[in-house]
Amino acid sequence: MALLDIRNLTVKIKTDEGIITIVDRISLTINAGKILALAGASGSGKSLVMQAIMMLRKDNVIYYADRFKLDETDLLKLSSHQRRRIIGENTSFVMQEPKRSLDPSLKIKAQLYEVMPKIKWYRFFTRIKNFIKNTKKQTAVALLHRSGIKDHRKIMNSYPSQLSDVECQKVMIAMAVASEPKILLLDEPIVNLEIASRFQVLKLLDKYSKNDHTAIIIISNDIASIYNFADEFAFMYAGQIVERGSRDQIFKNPRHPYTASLIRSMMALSDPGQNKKFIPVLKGKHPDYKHMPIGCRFGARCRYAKRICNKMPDITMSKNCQYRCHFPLPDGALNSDD
Amino acid sequence: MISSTETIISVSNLCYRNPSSWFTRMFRSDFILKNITFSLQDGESLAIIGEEKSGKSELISAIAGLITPTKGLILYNGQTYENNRQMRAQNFRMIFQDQETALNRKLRIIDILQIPLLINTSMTESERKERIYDTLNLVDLPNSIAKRYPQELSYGQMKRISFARALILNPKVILANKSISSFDPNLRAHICNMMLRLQKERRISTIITTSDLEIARKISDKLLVLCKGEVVEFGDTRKILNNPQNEITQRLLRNYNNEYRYKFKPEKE
Repeated sequence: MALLDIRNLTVKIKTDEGIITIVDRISLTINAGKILALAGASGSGKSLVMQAIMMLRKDNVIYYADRFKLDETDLLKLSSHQRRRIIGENTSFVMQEPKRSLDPSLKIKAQLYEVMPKIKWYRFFTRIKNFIKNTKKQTAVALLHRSGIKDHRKIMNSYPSQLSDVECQKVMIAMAVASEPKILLLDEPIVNLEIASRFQVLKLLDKYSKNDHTAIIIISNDIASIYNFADEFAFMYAGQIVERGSRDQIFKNPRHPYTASLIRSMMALSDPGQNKKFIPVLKGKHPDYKHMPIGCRFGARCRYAKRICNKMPDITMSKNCQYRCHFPLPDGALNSDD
Repeated sequence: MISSTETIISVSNLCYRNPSSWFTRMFRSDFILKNITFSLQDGESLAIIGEEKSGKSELISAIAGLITPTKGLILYNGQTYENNRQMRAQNFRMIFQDQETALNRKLRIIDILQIPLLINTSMTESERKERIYDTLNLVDLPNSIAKRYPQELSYGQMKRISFARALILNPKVILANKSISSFDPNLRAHICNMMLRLQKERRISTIITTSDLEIARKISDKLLVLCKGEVVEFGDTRKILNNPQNEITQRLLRNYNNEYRYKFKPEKE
């Protein structure tokens, strides 16, 4: 049984020029203890999917879904207040740019105390015991230690502007994990970090997913850095998931031409043999949401496009991957240069 | 006669510390940059790597002239450019990290590209337009983009506009601070290609700071490894990355090629 099950999620935004569909019929499932990576071009609606799962945006955004289940609870049958409560208890979200998402006017200590789960009013014996033992501080220190911060005394008493990017990111992860969520959502956690700190953050997340069986959904453009980190990959293009599957399947035999072009660029960049040589790249640009092409959205940039591509391709399911293309690439198409 | 082995930039004994009051200076005199010495030949490109807070951004802004060094000299073709603002503005152009905030949202692209020409040259309007369209061609953008506003463009196009603004005065050196990270592999490859083309066709030296060693390997000839404000290793990029001598470089490489990273395996056929 999947932990999170979303079917045909659609997100529309109201603008002055009418309603624009940005995320178009996305299906996601994730099991406990698994890591799913969302990748794709900037502006393909990755962050909006996460915000839709958390229901962060309220005004001028419309959500639709055919199914939205979290751990056997059908969230679509509940009222919006109850839905937000269940989501808030079970999921955590780490946003882009850790320095901006922390409150600049509060010490880290105060911000950590704020997110820690409160003890119910009727458990007053526990409350008295905690008050005597000063458990609040101990839990906060334990949280920081678990997320890889050793010098807790300095960090607790400093403001976010005094910390570096990695320390802020670790504090953010500690705050996200404080309520022991079942699902952890991360939006570009390793972008703009230094070499050693990327590794530290990934190691920390891996530890959480293995020990606590937390399901992790991670957005990252840098697919080379998270290649061995994620179990599953989903590639987005123009608001749709064009291909989704296990790591071994996708990186060995990609079916969709867009995925193939991304993997080719990644391989060419990390090839140590070819220095100072031009890399073959995909031409054209990402379509505008106001004027979407009819039919396949990748059609204008695709070299295999034919007349049938005027129609929107359906999702084809195969053994361990699913893709949205009329002419899927055959096995071994990645290595044959054309 | 200009030979190919002429020194274009030489930095000697560069020191920098944050401007602070005499009181704090009495108790701690921690320099951000300490005694940095290196030189670049004509047409060579440099990549600066290092750990956190090693002073990469400070070094590149000191070369660009955005901050004044406390001690030391930066020579361009054998002369200082501290007091020569015109020469500095024409030959050293910086590309900033965040492409959204780098461009003024209230100006059209043509006005953004015109401002350096209006300040530094005395061209007529038709000459300016011709130069702008040439530069847009160079960065693979259509001429029709000149009438649009920055917020109507995609991220990659914005980045290319900041490249065009850097290139419009025909500079000798382009400085880019962490400008290629945070893109998807396609766009990264595209910008790498553009930098390579500039190096090969126009003989422009590029100086970049990056935390992606694969990009450093792809587009630079020389590599400078910084640690706590000091130069740890300086030399040919391939030599250093294939055979690192210093402990800090070895640690950087080890952290970069970690267990989660994709490792390239050459096909055996």
